[in-house]
Amino acid sequence: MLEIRNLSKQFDGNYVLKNINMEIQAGQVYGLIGANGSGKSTLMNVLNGHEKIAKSGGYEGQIFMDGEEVYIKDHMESTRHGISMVHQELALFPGMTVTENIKINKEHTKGKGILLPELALLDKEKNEADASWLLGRIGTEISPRADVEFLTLNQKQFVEIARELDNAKIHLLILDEPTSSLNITETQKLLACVRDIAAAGIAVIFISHRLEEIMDVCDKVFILRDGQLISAYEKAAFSVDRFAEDMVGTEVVKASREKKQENRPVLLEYQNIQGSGQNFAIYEGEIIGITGLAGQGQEQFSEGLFGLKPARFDAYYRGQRLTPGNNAQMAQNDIYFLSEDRATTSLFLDSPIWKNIIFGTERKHPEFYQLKHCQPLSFLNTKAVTQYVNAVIQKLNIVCSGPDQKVRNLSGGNQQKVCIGRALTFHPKLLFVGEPTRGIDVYSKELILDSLVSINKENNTTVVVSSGELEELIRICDRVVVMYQGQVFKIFDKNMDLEDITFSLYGREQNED
Amino acid sequence: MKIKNVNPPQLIMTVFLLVLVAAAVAVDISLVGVINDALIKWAMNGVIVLSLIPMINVGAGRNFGMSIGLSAGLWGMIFALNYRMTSWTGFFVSILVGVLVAVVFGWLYAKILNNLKLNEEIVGTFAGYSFIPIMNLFYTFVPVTNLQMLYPIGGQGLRPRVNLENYFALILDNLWQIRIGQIVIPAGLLLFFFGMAALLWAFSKTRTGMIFSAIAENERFVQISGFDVNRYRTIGIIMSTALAAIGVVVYSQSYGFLHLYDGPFMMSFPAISAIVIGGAVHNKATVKNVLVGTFLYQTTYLLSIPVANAVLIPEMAELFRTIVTSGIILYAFIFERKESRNEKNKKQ
Repeated sequence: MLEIRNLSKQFDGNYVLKNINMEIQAGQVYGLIGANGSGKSTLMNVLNGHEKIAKSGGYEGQIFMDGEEVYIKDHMESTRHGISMVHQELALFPGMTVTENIKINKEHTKGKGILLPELALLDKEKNEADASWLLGRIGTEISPRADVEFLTLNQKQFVEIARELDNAKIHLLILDEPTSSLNITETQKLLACVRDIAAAGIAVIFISHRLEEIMDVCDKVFILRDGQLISAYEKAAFSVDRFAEDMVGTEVVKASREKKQENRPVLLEYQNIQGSGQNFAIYEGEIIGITGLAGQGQEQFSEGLFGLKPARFDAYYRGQRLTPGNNAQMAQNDIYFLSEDRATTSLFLDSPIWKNIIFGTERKHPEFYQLKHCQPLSFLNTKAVTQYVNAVIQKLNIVCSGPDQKVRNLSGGNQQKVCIGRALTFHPKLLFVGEPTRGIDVYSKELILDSLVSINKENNTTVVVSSGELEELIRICDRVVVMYQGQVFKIFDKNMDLEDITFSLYGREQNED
Repeated sequence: MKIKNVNPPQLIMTVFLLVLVAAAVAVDISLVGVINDALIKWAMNGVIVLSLIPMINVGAGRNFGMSIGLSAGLWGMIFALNYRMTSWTGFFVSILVGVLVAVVFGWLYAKILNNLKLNEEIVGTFAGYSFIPIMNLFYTFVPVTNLQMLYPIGGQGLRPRVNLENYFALILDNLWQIRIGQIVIPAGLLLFFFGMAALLWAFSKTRTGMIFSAIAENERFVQISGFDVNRYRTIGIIMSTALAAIGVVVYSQSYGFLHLYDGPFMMSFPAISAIVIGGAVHNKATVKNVLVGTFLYQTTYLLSIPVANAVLIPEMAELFRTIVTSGIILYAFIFERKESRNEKNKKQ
């Protein structure tokens, strides 16, 4: 029914999808799995005609619909070809009824309307009948007159599916993590519904991080890794182990750092995480990795501390209580945060490199200012700044035309190096880094990891890396912490096994053999 | 100058100015008089336009609530006039008291704006507008004893316009005038204007100036770096308010009158228009923007009156001024919205 041939997609020269080939048959359920950032969403966005795709230059390769080549340039086009998608974040109008949400833009009307078709009266009965038939078809008993605002999350999910099914031509329904916020019974209901939809001759692409569900409901599974279709399994060949292996890859682990295991004093302790009474300590001088699937709370330690997210814990730094969001206190204690969202929280994109590197570092570098005793009104010591910034550029191998180049014009990897350069300038005691290697080419990745290791080695800086790149974490970290549902699920120290960690990402314990 | 650095309003205004000059020559208007007036208009409005810089650069938007600062300057002049201070004493005491009042007003203004971040411009507009009637009430009841300032009948309440002739009218305009043929260069006035501009330029190069521009560019980052963003915003807003107070004193001595009541009502729009013409954007303004923009805006306006009177119907000049002023502000909003949307798309 649907065939994808050699589909590739690049963002500014970075290929996030490479030569994808897929074939989708009517009435089948397809699982699509892969680690964070493996290209699942991009692939689905291409099929769904998301505006991101067109605005970043479209895609390469061919898509065939029933043997005919089509180019999905926008969402209208994809709807015309019968492709519908239910997004992870639900898109419903909270103030409207179930019927209104389902039938929006497809309403039945009474007559033609006065003067303009837009002024026609709605045929309420017919719309409601339609809505309840659709809801019945997917096995739910939600009243079509109920207000969407007061439905449970699960019910909302069904309303959204019903809305997408209300398209006479629908051939393919894409469900993006439909079960991520549902409990077991709700999930069962949804899975049954998915089977029914497939039985009606509609193809379903089912994206989930929960491998059991995939095993349960899918007829075929595609596995993506680094933008490539690594493997495809038929139902008979399903195995969680195989899935996990294909998702993370089995590359040989590269140069690793020597693990430090001796007892160290506690530097920072989080107490009563998420109100559950759980505590978690970071030791002085270690490199610790924090990982987890999207939305499992791995960012809460850094972003909560710096006031970007509500902090649901008590934090003690060397026994002294920290006030989350009081960033002046963090700076005083030499705690530095390099967020994963570089553009919005860690860079001045329209400013030159030198300003990005030295901004806010006056406490550690009074030599940057001419008047040491009246800094607020002091001019810069241009010579000292230029000298310092040039040294940083050289040390981190930042590819640029000089300290005056605007950061916006640097590549992602070089922007990240500028961020690291600023972190270095701060001489932090405790450094939080979020996704340091996201969206960065292989060579720069190694350089950035190296610089993290060397910050730790040279200044005995404690480094907390939150990242989804397990292989990298294993290489540089003394300990790796796996987060699950907002809690510390497991801490790996001596035996960091990629497979074990991958299993625990999904909240599963691997039996020790 | 590369054509890339010229924004459309600047280009339109420059072309328009040239057309006006050509028209003026064609209808035999003396250009000498125009040049003399242009220099005075430039500097007399310039300080008010300069007052926009700190607020823009600290990310608090263009100061549409400028009438707050202007009112503070008016307070200063009322004080000086009431004690019959003339000449330089009157001028500098006006500035001093005006700045002191502006610090208080600015602090309150900053409190409001810091609570309503991202909406500074619309909030500022209404804060400024609602401030004027409050001030009007004040002008009516202020216990002034200098009869020259009071309504001749009843002896209660300040006059809408107080003549500064016996106090410090034209004191800067007439300082160190240089005459070259028929052209008179008001060196004193220009030096005062340039001096203020130089101070602001120097400030932008200091550490605090750097933090200001950093906040305008990425407030969240500055906040994460441990700076008290609101404190710097308060400083910036107070600076803008105080500069507006100084600006109105300079303006008044040129104008020759102390214009109370609705005087400050329509002063923010022309100033903002001028700085936009000069190339300032919502979060970045330089002294150069002010110098270029004020000159283009004021000179165009100056020329348009006699030309319009000679060529077109007399009322055209004021109509034209309103259209240009508001049109340019509208342009600035549309352009920035478009730009920020483009940026968002690029990021995704």
